[in-house]
Amino acid sequence: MSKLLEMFQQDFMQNVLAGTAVVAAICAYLGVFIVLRRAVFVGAALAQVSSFGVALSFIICAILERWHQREIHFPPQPFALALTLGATVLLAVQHRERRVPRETVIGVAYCVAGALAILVVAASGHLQAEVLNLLFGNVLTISRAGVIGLAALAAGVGVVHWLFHKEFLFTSFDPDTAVALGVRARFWNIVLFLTIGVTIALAIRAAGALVVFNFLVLPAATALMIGKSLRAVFVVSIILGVASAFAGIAISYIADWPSGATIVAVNAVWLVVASVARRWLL
Amino acid sequence: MVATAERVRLFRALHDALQNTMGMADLIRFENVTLGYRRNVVLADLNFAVQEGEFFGIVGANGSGKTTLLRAMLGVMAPLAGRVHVSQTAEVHFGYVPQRGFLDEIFPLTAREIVLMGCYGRLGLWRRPGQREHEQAEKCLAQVGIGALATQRFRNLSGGQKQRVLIARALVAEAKVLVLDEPTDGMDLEGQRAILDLIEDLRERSGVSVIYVTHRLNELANAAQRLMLLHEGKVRIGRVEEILTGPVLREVYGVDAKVEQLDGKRVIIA
Repeated sequence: MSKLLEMFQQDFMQNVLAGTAVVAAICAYLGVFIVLRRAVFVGAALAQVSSFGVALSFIICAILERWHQREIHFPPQPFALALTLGATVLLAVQHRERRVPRETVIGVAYCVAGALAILVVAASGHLQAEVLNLLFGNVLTISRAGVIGLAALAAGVGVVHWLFHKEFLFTSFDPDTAVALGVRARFWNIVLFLTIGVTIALAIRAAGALVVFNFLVLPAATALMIGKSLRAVFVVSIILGVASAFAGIAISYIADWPSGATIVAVNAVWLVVASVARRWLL
Repeated sequence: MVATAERVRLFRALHDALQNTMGMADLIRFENVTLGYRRNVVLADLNFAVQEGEFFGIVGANGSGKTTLLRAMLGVMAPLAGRVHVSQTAEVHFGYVPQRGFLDEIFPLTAREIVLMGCYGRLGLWRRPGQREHEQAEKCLAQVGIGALATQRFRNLSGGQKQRVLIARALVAEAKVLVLDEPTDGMDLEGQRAILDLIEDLRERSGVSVIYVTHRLNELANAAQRLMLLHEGKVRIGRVEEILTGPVLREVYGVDAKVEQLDGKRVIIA
């Protein structure tokens, strides 16, 4: 108990808790759309593309440093964001006439982006530790500025979804009827995936690919098992995401376990409990 | 090229004459339309119109291009060539009723929530369904005979009940044209009859036009006014009594089929 109190009193842990909770809330909300649309692999592929963007920014820095013979540094977020948004537009659009199914395109993006990220890290030599930290993330490195940035991201995505919830829902559930009734399904589909892409790109920088992907899938999957209505699914998913963020960080702090893996483990426990509860109680 | 232009001119002249004599307006007109995906042509050189208040049946096997044709009518896909003209004067609202199997039942939506989607298009951006829309949804659910199921989850409903939910959604959209894609697929005879009766009833009471797609010819033999037969790229359109004849069916399907009358109803025996 005293260790728990000690955790809350430390400034950096307050940032970690707040930042992870924001990432959990926003990803758990968007995750409902991802799971309902059976687009879980899109989330994974975008996470890989974002990681590749981060790695690419470092290798470009390294090349420029060698070229100009002086230290050059620019933030990796614009690279990650640009690549993720480009990939989002490519992956979000479903063409019936495509020769290669969308699932295959997503799989290719996942593999290629992941492999390129590793190759770029290997090529960057002395920067490996820093790049690996960015790629695989560590919630313990979230700063006060990072928390503010994540809160702004959550607010922006929240406003877009509050305004256009019915468009996102209709085009996710029945795009052909949506078009027949004058709703621009392709446009709203891209907007929805752009909000997911931006969130993934920026959240990975703060929490790492594993934790972000976990928040995109596990809370929503758990909520769908026990939620009786769509609204309940959204609410339960957010609550489970935030609760597992707090519980995971607290357990990892007390037991001295890796924070990201502990958060995923806590989410997995919720999932098992929900599946048992659904079978025996609901 | 000249022959095509001449065919279109003739088609227009025939329809103008029909409209003048019957007082019916074209809601949707296909002018020399070719449909397909990239270089893969599914249906070529279509010239026909669907008129106000009529029951227009489209019959074809799986893969014959029925759904492609519907997607073009609804504006979901653009034709490779030609023009799909939707009447501007009549302000056509389509009420699309997709195949139940196309909808993913993983969505935890109630019957009412799905019916409310019918008004999303006309609500415009920012606005959410209000009391008026909720009342309208309840009314439409009652109109199709499932008023008591408004709060039931869509996935827990029977095939026939799901179909009624989708029809209610089309009604909420204030549809002038009900476009139904295989609405009785997977249903037993009783279910099929009930859905057809409901559609007939809606047509009589509200005067909606009906475009009904199926792969079963007998299903529309007594319900539709005009039929379009699609088979391996061949297209035949005409009034039911002109289309449902042995020679036409032989020409389209290549089999000897008889059209008999049984208790005053047409039955096709092949």
